[in-house]
Amino acid sequence: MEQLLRGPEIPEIAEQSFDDPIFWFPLRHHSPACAFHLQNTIRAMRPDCILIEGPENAQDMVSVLTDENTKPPVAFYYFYKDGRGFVSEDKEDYKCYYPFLDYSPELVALREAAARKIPARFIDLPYGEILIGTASQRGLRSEGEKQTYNDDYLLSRSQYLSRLCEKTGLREFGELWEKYFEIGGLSIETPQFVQQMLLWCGLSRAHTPQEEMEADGCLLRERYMAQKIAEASKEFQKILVVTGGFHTSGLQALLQRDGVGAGVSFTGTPVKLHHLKEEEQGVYPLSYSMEAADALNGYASGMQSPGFYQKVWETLCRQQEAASQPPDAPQAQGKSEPAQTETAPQQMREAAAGAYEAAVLHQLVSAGRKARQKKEGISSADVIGAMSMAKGLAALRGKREPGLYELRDGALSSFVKGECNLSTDLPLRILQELNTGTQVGNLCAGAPRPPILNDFEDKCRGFGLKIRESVPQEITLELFTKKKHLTISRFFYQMDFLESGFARRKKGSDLLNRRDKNRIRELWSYQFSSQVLSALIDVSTAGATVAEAARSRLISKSAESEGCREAARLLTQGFLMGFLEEQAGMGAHLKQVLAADGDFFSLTEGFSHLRMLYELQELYQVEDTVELSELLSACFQKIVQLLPSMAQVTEEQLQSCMESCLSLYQMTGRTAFAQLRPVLMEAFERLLEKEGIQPGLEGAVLGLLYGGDRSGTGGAHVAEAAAGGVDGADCTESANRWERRIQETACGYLQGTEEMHMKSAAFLRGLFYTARDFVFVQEGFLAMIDALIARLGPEAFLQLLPELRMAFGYFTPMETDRVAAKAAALHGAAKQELLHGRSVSPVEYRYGRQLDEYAQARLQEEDL
Amino acid sequence: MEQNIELKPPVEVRYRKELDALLAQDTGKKPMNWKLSPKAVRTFILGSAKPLQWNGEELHIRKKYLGNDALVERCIITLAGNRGLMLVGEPGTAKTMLSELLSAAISGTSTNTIQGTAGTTEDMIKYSWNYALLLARGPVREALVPSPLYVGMEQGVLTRFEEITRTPAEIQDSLISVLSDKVLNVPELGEAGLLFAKPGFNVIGTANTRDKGVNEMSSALKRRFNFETVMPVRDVAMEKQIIVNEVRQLAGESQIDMPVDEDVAELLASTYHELREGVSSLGHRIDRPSAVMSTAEAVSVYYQTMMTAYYYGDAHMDIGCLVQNLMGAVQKENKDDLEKLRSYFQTVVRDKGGKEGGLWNSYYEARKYLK
Repeated sequence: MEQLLRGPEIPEIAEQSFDDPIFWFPLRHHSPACAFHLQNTIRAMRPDCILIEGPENAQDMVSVLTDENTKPPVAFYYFYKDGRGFVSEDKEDYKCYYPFLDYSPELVALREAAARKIPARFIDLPYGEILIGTASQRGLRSEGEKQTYNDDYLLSRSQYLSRLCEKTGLREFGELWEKYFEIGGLSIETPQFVQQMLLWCGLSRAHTPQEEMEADGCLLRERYMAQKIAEASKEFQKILVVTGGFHTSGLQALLQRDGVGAGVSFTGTPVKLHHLKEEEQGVYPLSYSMEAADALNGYASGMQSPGFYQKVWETLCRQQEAASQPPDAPQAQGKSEPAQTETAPQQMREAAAGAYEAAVLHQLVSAGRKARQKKEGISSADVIGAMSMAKGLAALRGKREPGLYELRDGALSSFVKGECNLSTDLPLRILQELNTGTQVGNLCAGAPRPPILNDFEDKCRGFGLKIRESVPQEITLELFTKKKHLTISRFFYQMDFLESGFARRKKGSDLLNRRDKNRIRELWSYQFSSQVLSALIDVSTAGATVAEAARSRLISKSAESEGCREAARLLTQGFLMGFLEEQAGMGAHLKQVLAADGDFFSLTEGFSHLRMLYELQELYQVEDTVELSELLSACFQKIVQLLPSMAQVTEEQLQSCMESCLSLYQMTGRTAFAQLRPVLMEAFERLLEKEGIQPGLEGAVLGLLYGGDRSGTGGAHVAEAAAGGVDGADCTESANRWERRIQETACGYLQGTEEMHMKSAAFLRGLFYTARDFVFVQEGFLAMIDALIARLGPEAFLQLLPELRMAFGYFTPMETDRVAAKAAALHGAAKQELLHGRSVSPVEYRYGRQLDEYAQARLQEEDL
Repeated sequence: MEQNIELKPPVEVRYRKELDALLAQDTGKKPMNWKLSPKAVRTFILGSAKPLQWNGEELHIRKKYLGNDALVERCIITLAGNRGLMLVGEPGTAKTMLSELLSAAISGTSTNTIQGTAGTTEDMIKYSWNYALLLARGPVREALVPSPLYVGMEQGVLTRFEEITRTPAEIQDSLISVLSDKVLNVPELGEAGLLFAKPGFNVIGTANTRDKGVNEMSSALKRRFNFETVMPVRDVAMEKQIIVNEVRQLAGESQIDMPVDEDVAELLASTYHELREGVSSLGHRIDRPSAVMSTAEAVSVYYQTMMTAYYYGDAHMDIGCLVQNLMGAVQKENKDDLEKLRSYFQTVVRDKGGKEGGLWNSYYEARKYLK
């Protein structure tokens, strides 16, 4: 900052000529003005080679970008797997994007070179090498942001910028840039523009400390790029170097002219490469979206509102073509073939005039029209008002034409009627959407891409899913009536399993968490984005189709899985993805895991998964390839073995332990597993024999024992009985035993010492969880509890209350009503009376008030 | 002779020097009948970095409206166009001040104003008659009493319409034809009764979103206005600056010779900011009072305390007195607000006192006055 206050020393910028053997073109990525002047430069200079800042391992893919069937936005997707730990000890995987829009200067250069049939080369380090040369949390290794290769942040973060914005009365760097370089830049000649860019970038560099550049990996990259430039200079006579403006002076400093016509030689230390293997790093072209390219969406080094600047660029191209072509020979727009007759700079400049104004008008008209469709009262008069506001503001702010900021201001003052808030700003949101753009790019047919991407697109097309737009879509799937829908659901689950972020289930059965198992419809929301593609590329080695990748991933995960919980969960996932054939193999693995698993909770959770799958087989009409019943039995045996040792579960584990017991009990209610019921009952009994058993668990198990014996061993209605509400008629001998035991235990807890009181509520909670009908069947039980509770002191009762509430929470409202009526009857009242509080007598009220006033007075005296 | 001192001189009087200097040096293009060019209007309201040389002295154009610069620019451009300007926002967000500044800079007068109330009638907006003259001479121009709107159209100056939403919707609608056709018909005057607006005429309305919003305004009238929503100042440092500037101005006008204590201003600015936003700078979540926590309120709290100190005290800001005035300002609409203020002191002020000490500590101790 000190430097700034003293006034920065303006770096000396040597003037360049188009006849120089090396012409340096400094740029900011995604800048229409840079693209425009770069195009002019190439046409005026006619280089025989163009060197471009970009990781050189993408060199082979250049032809994809320049193919006429490739429609931006597209991106290079780079990945690097740090298996050998060059970057850090964590050996992580890295990835980044290098997006290209129609108006990206690099793309313009590549297209021009292709049209002129001259070589265009990427000269930056391969992606992996850049990462190796970057410090942790810096440059391409910084976290928390979607990584893009572009390093425009270097031009917009230096210290003096905020002061500059303040001084020029502009809101932010974006506005400053637009005013002076985008709009202003179009009105000056190319050499002058290049000069101004060099000056700007030189200043940015001068205010960036050397250490920062080193940490960001800038200096290393520059050394490499300079090396490449020197190599090329031996080969070609006229070279155009297109790099981020920040690097230009750094590169120049590393090179030394060898004499007229002899090129330049590199004066720095050569960069040592790590010879990364092919499988360690790679690059794929992929279609990108405007939304992803927008700076607003976490893409900080991009330019904001790409949709708006795309319009500007289209207008520029159109006007330029009109200027360079005879009026009656129009050419297709957007494709700017090298003009046969090079247009004079003056003419070019004139052709550029009005591009911004036209784009602003176009956006306002489109936003107005779209808002009208959404029943917003935006009239043509409002559009006119907004346009005149934009032009007026441009004049007031000293801009040659209105730009993005004037566009927004114009819409804000003319389109919003009333106070600007969520209910009135829809037109602004529409405009924002238009400014971002919704286009998704398209790659030419022969683009190298992993087959999985083709499969993904084919599948989506086959299913009628919309992936040409980046807007979220929804689809409702009728799983059991339409076969196609079941297939789509499985496809979504596969995509989800591959962590692509493509689809999300909003409604429907949640089998993984075993909730809402009986839903017949699923509502999915899906959204295409470039992240989906990159996630697929990441797994492309696993298979050529989505299904194959998901399958091989499932199998490998299953093979690695430890514990019954994980293995059974994977089995469920496989079921959802429709991989029924693989289940047999997974089942075999599960058996092994099962044998080794000694964790009660892992086993019980796995058991629940297996049980659910068993029950769903019929519904989904699938064959049992896993021998689920066998697995279930095995799992059951294992759990029963462990059960007695669970007597002292902690408070936190109680609920899931009770659930497990109930689940086991319910399963043995099925005819197929009825023979296991006695085994379970025995285990329960052994559990009860343990000393210091958790009272909740004790209650739950007693309830189950009571229920089980009451309804006889086996029989499908046991499960219902456990769920409560069955009037018990046949009380067997042994049920009487458990009944007595329950009463004794409850009594014991309630009459016991203070600590035991506390346990009584937990006991009741457990009991009511598994056998709440006990209260209705055993007439005396409620009276007994009532009498015991009545004996408790008020304090002890209050302590008990929360847990008691929980215990009685298991009853349905109707049952609660019945319990309340019974309890009221014990005290000689009708249940209605419980709903009304006792009225307070005037004497009591007066006394209470006096007490209150006294307390308040005392408090005031104490100044509290 | 004793100088006639006005309690609150209009903007054009208060800043006469600045306006004259800008006028003399204004080279920008002007819309017809504007005193200053849009650029100079902008400079007048938003200030200039470099001082102007005027009559041999250096004149600093101070920034008068602290807040959103782009909003001011939009306002200026709106006024140069054919739509009216409607400033809406919470009370105390300097809407009126902005409209006064704009009128003074553009038309040279900020006093051509209609004050909207529930009792405003159509003849207060358009014209009425001097009945004595009307009876004596019949319906002639001399007998007509022009309204500010009439004056604006006749002379080509801005008309301010304060609190427009407080007037009944049907009365507001009498503006529609004037704003769209720029003509006012006085049928009593016969053929001479058509008043065509001169260039330079436009309307600045202000509307408060707190008690009676713009929702009831007819959409026909809404279409004739560009709306600008003035937000409360979101930056504590800026809010402090506003308090300091305004209080200095008020003190100067009332000849109170006492410097403004910037620390106290900052304390007050933080309090207002935090209570308005519902979150403290230390991250506490705060219950927002239902009363308006505007910067204008903060200024008046400061100014009251300052006067108390000046007339009764030792010309030093007394924090206890400040808290009492703050309580008066907050406890206006709802009884619960006092409770909210108290809990603000119990949590935020206490913690800040513990952390920063000094003034925040005495602020915390003064909580005893919150009764």
